[in-house]
Amino acid sequence: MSSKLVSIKQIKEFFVFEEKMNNTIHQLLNFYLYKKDSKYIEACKNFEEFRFSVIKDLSYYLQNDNNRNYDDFKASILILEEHVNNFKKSYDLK
Amino acid sequence: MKKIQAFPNQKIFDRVLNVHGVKGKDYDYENYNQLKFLYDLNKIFSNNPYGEIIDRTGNTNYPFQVHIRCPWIIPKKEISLETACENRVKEIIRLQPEHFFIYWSGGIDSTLMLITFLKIINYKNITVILGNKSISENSNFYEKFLKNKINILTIYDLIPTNYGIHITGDPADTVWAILDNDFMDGESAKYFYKSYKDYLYKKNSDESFLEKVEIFNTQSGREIKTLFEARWWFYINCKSQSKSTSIITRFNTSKNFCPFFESNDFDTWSFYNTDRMIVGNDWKTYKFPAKEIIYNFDKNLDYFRNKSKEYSNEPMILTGQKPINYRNIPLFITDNLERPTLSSGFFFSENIYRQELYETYKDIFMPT
Repeated sequence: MSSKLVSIKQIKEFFVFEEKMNNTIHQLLNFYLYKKDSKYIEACKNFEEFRFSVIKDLSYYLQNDNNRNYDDFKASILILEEHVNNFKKSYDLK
Repeated sequence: MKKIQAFPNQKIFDRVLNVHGVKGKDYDYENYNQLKFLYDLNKIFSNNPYGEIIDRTGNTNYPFQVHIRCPWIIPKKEISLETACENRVKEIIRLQPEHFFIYWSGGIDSTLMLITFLKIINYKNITVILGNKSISENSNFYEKFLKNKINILTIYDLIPTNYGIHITGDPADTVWAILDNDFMDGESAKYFYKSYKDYLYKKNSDESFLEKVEIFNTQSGREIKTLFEARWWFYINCKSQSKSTSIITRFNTSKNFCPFFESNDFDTWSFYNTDRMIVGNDWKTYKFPAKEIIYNFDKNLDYFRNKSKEYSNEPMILTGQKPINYRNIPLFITDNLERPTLSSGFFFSENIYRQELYETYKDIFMPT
């Protein structure tokens, strides 16, 4: 593993991901308006909670790990993206 | 010594292995060639391999101590499907005789499971957990046997996971060779009842690979000739544990879950009946022996004749998503149901792992 540390500049990769999470919430709300199915509101609540946890965990990680490794960070973002994609699939969101 | 029975996220688990000095990823770990072989075989049967590969014969080395929940025992004597079901209910009664929460999707497997309970257990000791799709999938059964007759919880209710025993229809699909649309409609369909060797050779022409498949197939204890039989053996042997444990990756409490179709009796029935699982490639005949038992109970001719496989796991999926809290997803699950997670959640770092978990679990992994 590389010993490269996460820089402030690289955190912007997280914000790109954050924007995708926001888009997911908007999609869920649109689905609710269009299909009037309360499962999308439930999903939206769950997803918002997920998003909040991710941000909280990121801040914990940045504050508490003095050896922050960029490869670890990047791999974590990829896993989170996979998690979001699986979530979207289960609600038929593209 | 503790052992590992499940690792819900392969990528995360690879990173745990790396911290413990195991080099490699995606089942391709240095000095563990058999595991890589099983993964390669899995990729032939599936475009998107999903779930842990646990070889229940015990003939595969892992870079960690592996816990095999239900080791493969070569069957010696045939058993009927109905008897296998009844034996399993009796086994579960011995585990927890008080209250039975049964996850019913309306599909063939969970209906077979539910009727076996209804035949043996007093209704007041059963709660059926269902979703809207369960009702639409088998509305006749719901109206006739469940509505206003038995305790019901929907997937939107608070489910008391700390009480009673929670029984799912896992790992039923592996009992039936996990037929899916990709397999039934794709190129593999032409080889369904033909020699598995012809198909595998097309996918991987390395002769040593085919030799490994032959050796692997002999471990089943029966003759494996067709592609269908080869698929059956791979899935029932290597994937049923991951199906059985799928519910404990979704619940915080996990001491009282029970995958109904996880037993040597179902292995035995399946072993002797691969030729009865489907007629030709007609979906409507898939799981026919189970539909026969259901028909004898509910007399629903339409379900008997026309019901075919659907991805009917709504109770499991939606219950699992309350809430979608990724912190609940453990790095791995031990045989005594420890579920370690990192305080930094998915932001996995070697440093935090070493501070929090390395010492506790280092003996599980090889090399340390």
